[in-house]
Amino acid sequence: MTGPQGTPLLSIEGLSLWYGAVQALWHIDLRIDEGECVAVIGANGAGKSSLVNAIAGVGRPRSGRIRLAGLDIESLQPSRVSALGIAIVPERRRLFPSLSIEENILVGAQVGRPGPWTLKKIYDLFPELVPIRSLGGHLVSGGQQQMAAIARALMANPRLLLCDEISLGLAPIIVARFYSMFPALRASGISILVVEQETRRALGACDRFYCLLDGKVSLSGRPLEVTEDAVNQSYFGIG
Amino acid sequence: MVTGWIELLLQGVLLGGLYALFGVGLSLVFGVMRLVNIAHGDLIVLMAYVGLLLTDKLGLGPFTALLVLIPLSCAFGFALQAALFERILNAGPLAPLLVAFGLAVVIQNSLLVGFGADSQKLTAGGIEVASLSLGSGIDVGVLPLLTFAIAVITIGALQLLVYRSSFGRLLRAVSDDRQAADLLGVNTRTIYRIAMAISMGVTAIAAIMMAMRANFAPSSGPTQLIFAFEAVVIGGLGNLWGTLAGGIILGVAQIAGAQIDAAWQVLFGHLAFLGLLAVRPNGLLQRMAPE
Amino acid sequence: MMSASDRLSHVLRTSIIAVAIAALALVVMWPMVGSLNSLRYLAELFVLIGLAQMWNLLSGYAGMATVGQHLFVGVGAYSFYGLAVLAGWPAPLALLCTPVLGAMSALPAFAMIVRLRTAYFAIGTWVLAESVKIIAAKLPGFGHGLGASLPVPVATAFGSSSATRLTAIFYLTFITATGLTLGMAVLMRSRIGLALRALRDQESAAHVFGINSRRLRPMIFAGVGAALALLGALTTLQRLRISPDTSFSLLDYTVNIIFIVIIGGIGSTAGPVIGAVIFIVLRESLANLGPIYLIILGLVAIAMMLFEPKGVVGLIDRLARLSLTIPFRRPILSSLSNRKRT
Repeated sequence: MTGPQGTPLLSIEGLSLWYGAVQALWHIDLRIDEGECVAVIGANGAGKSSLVNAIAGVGRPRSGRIRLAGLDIESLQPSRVSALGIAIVPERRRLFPSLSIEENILVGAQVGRPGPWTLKKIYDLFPELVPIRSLGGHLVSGGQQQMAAIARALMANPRLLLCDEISLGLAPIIVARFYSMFPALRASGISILVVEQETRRALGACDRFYCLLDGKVSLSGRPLEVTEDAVNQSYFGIG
Repeated sequence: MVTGWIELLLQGVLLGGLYALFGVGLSLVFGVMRLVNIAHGDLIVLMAYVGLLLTDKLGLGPFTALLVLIPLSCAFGFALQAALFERILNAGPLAPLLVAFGLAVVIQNSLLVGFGADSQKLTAGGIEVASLSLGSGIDVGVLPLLTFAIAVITIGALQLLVYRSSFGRLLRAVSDDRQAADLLGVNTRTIYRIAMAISMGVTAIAAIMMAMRANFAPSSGPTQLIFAFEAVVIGGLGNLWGTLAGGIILGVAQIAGAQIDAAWQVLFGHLAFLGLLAVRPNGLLQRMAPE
Repeated sequence: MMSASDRLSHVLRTSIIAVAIAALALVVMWPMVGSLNSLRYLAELFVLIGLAQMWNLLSGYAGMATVGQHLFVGVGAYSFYGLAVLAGWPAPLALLCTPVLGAMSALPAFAMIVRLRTAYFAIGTWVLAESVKIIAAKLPGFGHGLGASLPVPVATAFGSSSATRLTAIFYLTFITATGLTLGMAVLMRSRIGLALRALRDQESAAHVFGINSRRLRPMIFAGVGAALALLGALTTLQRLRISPDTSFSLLDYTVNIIFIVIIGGIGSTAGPVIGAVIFIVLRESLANLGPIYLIILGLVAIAMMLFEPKGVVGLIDRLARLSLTIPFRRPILSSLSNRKRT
């Protein structure tokens, strides 16, 4: 499934973002094609979350374009952006503590996009959520919270799934499980943008990557085409 | 003697229903958007005057007037949020408080210009003086009983809306973490507007019940605000049934005070509030959350 | 090295200070030339400035917004009456003791409502004020709901003719207002001022300045209670009577004061002074409008909060910056009192 004339699903051109007097992103160019998995790696404070938030419609870029299947979305409200098919798994999960796990998942469905995802399909994907579905979001383990956060995003039936630091603070075995779901999700037509500090896992799972350093793209390409040294250098900004 | 005491206790409990109606609108808005609407009391009085216009000028009965007033009041709340409060909610805790404060003064004095300082009352065609015998010589007023029943129904309906409906789910999500809700594509601005509209709908009910029960004047608002506030804080922030419990405690304390001296009525309410605050700083009941 | 714009703003700031000193000198000389009526108005202005400084200290700096400031004003009025009339103390001594009683009543009040946060704290102070007002109407010896007039010996303790009495009140209120304003300026430049600002922004940050934040809030609250009580006693000397409704007036000592600070500029020392002057001028020129005056005041306050939350002080800063084309420099007027030391 490709857009008209091979239009990329998401294309970002010359994106700059400021927080008050501080510039967080400098002329970012980025592209995600239909069905692709793209990683954005970078150290803490490199601008990864700013980029994700800008795509989701939170935080207005000062200049540049963000297009979803050719449609300008950089000035839309976040609710419009989600309605067009971008869903996010936010950094640190951000489950709503006074909602049960199931209610948290259902919040994702409020976007109202038609698609294959239902509560039943979610529970097939994450059977361990079933016994804890009526517990408060803050009472379950970090891994279970992350499952609920992913489930919440999937319930929005997205075309593009933004995963912000999904491995943060979780055991490697759980992280491996999340990444192992990616091929099936992509096969169902969902493109994925993964944002990670943990470089190796992200590079292993994705088709292409961008490395951010101080708000700029310091390196991009296919994981197999670059050396580990080149990645380290563009990640830390040192030779 | 004993029946006299029981009657007084009942009076206090039923009065608590009115205070709970005052309080839930305040509580809802605070719970969802952390706005303490200091103009709440004046909005109640404003709606009482609109109700007065509907009954006097259009000749509607008080309950027919209420059916007209509720949608009017909801629309007013929606507009108030869109035009005023949502512009100031991100500016720290003090700014919304002061804007609401300015609004309170504007409403009070506009009513004074429009209606004069005289106190008014809504005539309800006899039910305000009717009473019901519960046997053993215990009588209760029909209007207080009706007010209490309406309070219970209103709070029950709000409870269902907040904890059982999909809209309530979003309401609680926004209340927990507005930024996260934004990020997930929840239209938080609309949720806020609807929350204010619902609050004003309840305010309309409270206004009509108050206007039938007692005299009101343009300057009555601050007192209603204090009663609403006391009911909410005694019951525990963010707990709707708690607000009813808070209203009942306040009502009983006031009726008890009134037995000693008419002027003590309000004071006893204040003292109950301050005393409970010292013992239970978070109110009687905790905020509701999944188990 | 000073840049041209820095020098300009320095010149401006120096000239503002010069104007302020000249104005002070004029005020000191005023009773020799001014009419009795002007003395009355100015004394009222000074009281408003003092009240506004105190509300600004609590709300604008210390993060303890109140809607119950009339509590301590009334406590001051009733304490003064109790000491000077009922206990028969000399009026000047009674006046000097009112701040002590104000501070002593502020501490238990603070303890009762300290657990309420922000807006709930504000309404908590209001409930307290209304409670004390009801109790005041029940106190024996204070004339109950109607209140009482100061007997002639107390009323004339500061001057037997109305000229000497008004001059005495003029100087007393002037000294109080100036003292509170200068006190605020000094306080805000001190370690405590920095700690207060830190506390307002982030509860845990104050200890950085070596200040115990647990004690700071009640101390500030007690200090404000003391000053408000003194102002309440001075108001009693002006009006020559006490009553629950006038001595504990929500409108006079809280509502109007909040408007003064919002319009003048919240969180700056100059704001309350400017706001009080604007308030008096507006009130006198719109006096025949009645309640419409308060509607206008309320609308102006809302507009201020929406468009210029720093009030007239913020407006002046903005205009000055525009006309001097000082790009993103320190604010001029508010920095007179608020200069941050980093």
